[in-house]
Amino acid sequence: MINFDMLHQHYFLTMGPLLVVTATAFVVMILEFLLRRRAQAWLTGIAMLGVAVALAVAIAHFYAQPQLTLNTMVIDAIGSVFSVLILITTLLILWFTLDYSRRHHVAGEHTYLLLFAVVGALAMATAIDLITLYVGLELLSVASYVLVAVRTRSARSVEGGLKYLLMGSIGSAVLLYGMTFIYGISGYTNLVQIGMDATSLWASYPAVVALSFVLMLAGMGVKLALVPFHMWAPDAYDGAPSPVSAFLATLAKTAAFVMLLRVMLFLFNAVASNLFSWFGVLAAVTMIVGNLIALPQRNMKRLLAFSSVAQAGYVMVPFALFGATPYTDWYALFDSIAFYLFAYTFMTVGAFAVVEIVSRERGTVDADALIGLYRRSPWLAAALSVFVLSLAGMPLTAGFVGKVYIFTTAIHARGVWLAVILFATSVVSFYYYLGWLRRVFQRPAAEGAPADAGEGAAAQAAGAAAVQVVGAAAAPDVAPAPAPARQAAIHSLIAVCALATLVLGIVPASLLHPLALQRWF
Amino acid sequence: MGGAGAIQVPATSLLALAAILFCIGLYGALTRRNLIIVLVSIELMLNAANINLVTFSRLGASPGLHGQVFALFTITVAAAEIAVGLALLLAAFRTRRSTHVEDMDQHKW
Amino acid sequence: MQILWTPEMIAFFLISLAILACAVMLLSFQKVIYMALAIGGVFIGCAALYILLGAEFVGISQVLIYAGAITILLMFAIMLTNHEAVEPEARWTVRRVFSALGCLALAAVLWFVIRSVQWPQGDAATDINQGHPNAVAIGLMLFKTYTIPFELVSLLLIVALVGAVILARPPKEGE
Repeated sequence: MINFDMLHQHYFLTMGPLLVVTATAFVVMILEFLLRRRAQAWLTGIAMLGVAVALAVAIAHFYAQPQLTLNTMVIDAIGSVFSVLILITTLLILWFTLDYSRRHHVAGEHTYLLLFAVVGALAMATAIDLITLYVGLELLSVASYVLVAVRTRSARSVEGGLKYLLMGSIGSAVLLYGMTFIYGISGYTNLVQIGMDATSLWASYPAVVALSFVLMLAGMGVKLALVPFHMWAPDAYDGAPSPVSAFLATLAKTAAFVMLLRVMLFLFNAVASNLFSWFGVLAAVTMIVGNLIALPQRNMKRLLAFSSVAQAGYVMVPFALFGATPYTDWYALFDSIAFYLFAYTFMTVGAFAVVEIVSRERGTVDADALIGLYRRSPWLAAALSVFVLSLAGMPLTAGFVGKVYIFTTAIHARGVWLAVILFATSVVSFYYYLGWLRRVFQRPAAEGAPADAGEGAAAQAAGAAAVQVVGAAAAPDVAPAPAPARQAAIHSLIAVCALATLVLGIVPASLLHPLALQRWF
Repeated sequence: MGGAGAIQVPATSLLALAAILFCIGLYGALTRRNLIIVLVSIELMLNAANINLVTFSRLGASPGLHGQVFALFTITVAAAEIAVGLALLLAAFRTRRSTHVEDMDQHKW
Repeated sequence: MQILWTPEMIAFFLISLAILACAVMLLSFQKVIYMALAIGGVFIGCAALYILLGAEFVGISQVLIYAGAITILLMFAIMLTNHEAVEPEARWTVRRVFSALGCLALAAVLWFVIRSVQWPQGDAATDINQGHPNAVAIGLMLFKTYTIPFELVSLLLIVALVGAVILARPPKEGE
């Protein structure tokens, strides 16, 4: 057995952000016990401060030389880049919570459960040990199940949480079963040690390696809501409070992607050309089904859920290309995954924030609540247009650059069929994203005739009725119209997200340059 | 009984047992309509993974305690998961007086 | 394959028979409360298997946590919800057929892989406990090699504790 010198390890270098966030979580937890619900906003503020410190630590170590702690945690390019993304996302989500908790009742435990989930996500980004990765994944998942269902009086919320828990638990069980086979043939749980034997393992036990690959892929597929394991996603997103929906769509997904990246590359890099084409199948199915199923959606949060399923399919494309690309070209694949996830985070959080404002004002999450948004608030309409166009992949937005990057790497790696599906499904996605824009710039029914009579009018009448009914029912829940000043938090959040989406779209080098300096392996 | 000494049971039989248990659990988790039974079926799947781990810890490539420690972590995680699952079940029962999957129909797509 | 009928092998066959019988009963019983008893049988059978394989500490933990805590927790959950619950008569819906076929296919693949592979046989004479009692050896490994996941799992338990309390407590008025 290796004799560890437990005192002299690079704890702060490899686990700095994780330790800071853990400490913050405990401070917030203790303060919450002491203060009880008097200081929700303050607690969120403290949490944001802690996460900002962690982010500073992560940025300070951004280009650190690879180091190991206790053979378990590592600082390397994958870890640093995605830790930074995870922490930025956490800041955005907490910012969102700050606004949300002023208007709705939020359980006091919300803030520190979120922070514990982030600890799990950071562990997934920095661990190189199967046990630690599994525990980190479960920490993130269990905290997310609770966060989704935290409004225990709402049947939708509880059901969303329950579905998420059942599907998520089945996913982890399948993932774990796959991990046991890898442990069985190698005798280690450490990814580095297994990775060194990967070639000989493939030579001796191809069937077992393939089996374990497929099982682990299916397990991670559930966590990433890839088709055909996606059915929990719309229910969970719809049932959860908006900040938690944004959390599931961005942070939880980023963490699962980085874990997938690390596990697959360490365990299966030697056999990438044999196995990684499975990612392509999953990516193609996810892009096609995710986009098609989003077409008839009228509920805005469910549409964002399906859209995030489809977006995950786009990110899966570079994964499929690892096999067909020589090692020297892998940098582009890492860059494209990281860039797309950064872009996706900003546009998705922004879109959820706008949807939250609109549905709060109109009392419904039906897409018809968007009608006339341009007249009510040109600023929100412009911001939403930026997010939606970016999700659809229009030029001058981050989503466009990300998609083009993935598209060109796919062409370069001779994954033409994936590139074609990526392009075709993006065109399909225009249909539902532009449906939102059409509503945003449409005149309200009361002022003028709707653009398309017949079906449209009937739908609008139904929508308007729904607005009144739901609005009346929801009235006690919603605080009286807040003064504009109190909306500052969410509006500044939207502004930051829109700005980031545009900056990444117009000057992509602002992110690509730091990424290019990373030594991915 | 102890750490040392050869075990006569072949690894194949133990792994096959785990595989059958895993499939029974998966089938139950996908088809049962009572949520408690779905949770229990997931526990069956986790137990199958644990049998694998303990088997490999004794009969695997390089026998060692990693597998047993992994199994301990799995047991702990399973306990945490089922505690939250059952609490969620109580909350769901409170809102709709039923523990059946098909009564979970708030979400229509 | 030549099967040696050693006492260990006989014990293994009896235990696995018990586990599988309990698992099948679990899915064929109509009353939910009997199912909870059957799952207790599976848990204890697994514990016996672990002890047979020389993993005493895992076996004892299995009895304490699974057979003790989790089964009792399940009983509580059944009693607190509708304890008269009966799993409805099975109908062969499309979903059910597909699930059954999928699971059979998975079982066939697993069976094929497991039978076809010559599993690695490590040096069976190695003392995996390094001369310590099993519990001591596990403790050493847990606190040296696996310190970090050990700390993370303690966070997980806090989250589960807090989460279970939030979800299970009756909502207060005014929330």
